[in-house]
Amino acid sequence: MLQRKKKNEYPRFEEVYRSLFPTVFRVSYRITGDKGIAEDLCHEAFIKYYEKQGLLPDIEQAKYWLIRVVRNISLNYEKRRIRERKAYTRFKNADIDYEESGEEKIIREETDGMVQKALDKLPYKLRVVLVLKEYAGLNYKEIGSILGISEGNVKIRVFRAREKLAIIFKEGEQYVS
Amino acid sequence: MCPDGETLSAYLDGEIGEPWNTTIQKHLETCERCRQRLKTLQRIDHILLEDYAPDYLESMEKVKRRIQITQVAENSIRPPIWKRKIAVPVPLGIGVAALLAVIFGLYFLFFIPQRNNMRLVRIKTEPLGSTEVQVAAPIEDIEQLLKSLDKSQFSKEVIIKLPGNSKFNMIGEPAIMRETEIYRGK
Repeated sequence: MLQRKKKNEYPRFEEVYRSLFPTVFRVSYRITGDKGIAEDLCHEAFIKYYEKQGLLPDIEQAKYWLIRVVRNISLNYEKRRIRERKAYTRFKNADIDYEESGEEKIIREETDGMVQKALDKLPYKLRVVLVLKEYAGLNYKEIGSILGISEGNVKIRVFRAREKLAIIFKEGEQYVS
Repeated sequence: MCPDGETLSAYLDGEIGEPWNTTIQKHLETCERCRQRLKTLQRIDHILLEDYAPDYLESMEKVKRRIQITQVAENSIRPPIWKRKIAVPVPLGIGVAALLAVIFGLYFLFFIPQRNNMRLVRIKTEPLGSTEVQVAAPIEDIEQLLKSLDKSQFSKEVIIKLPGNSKFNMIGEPAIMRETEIYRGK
């Protein structure tokens, strides 16, 4: 029988933070491909959670809620990233002498993993679905509910993402023989 | 017949219900091509999951400190009192609303009629017995009241209490004074 929880039975913020940060961070990092931005997303998501925590009675619901927030914020980031990428291409094409700073070098090296590079090449729609499947451990129904799409759509997107990754890996000839 | 890529991918994720799950399982036992397709999908999953991921512990501490700083900052610049949100439990809200309704109800029941009484005239008659009768009527009907009292056979003395805040203006000459003057003139 369902029983309504009393407010003091809700999980404490520290508890939620400790148990969910690894998942939320992993998802943020895999969607954005950048550790610093992943930290920004986590910061914003947990601040929002802190304000809303009275409405989320258990860790599972907090997890969906946080992942949904991360996904929403990451969408804004993705738009910005596309704009910056275009600007960067113009900048490079203008043939200006550009030297990478030490800090930039470290960030670039951190995201230099082949897998992350391959994920970055996926269209955002496919990347998010696959990341939620593989790194958040969600099933099709849960992913569909977070993204507001049907289970059938999730199924198609997961497959297309895998299909594209197979091609990318093959091109890199690193993993797939 | 071989399952399509989407179905095979969903089979890998354990998203195919029965009886299709068993059907695919049996098909894979006999179809080398589908086994290879499934293997490719499985390999991608392994690559994704076994990839190096940045250590989250450092970020966890960093973000925790940032959250604490944000909270301190937010607490130090609290919004002015009229902009603050106040959470009122539903039963308390209903209780307060009911109490206000009762107070206003009582106000209309007692105070408003009392205000109307200021425009009423209270008339006490002392009949032959010791019974006291109180009559209240609008001030506009005063003449009519007096007439009705005249008809009452028990009235001896009539006391008319006018509202305390009534103001009277002298218009014309009181009849009694005029009568006196007429008498003197005679």
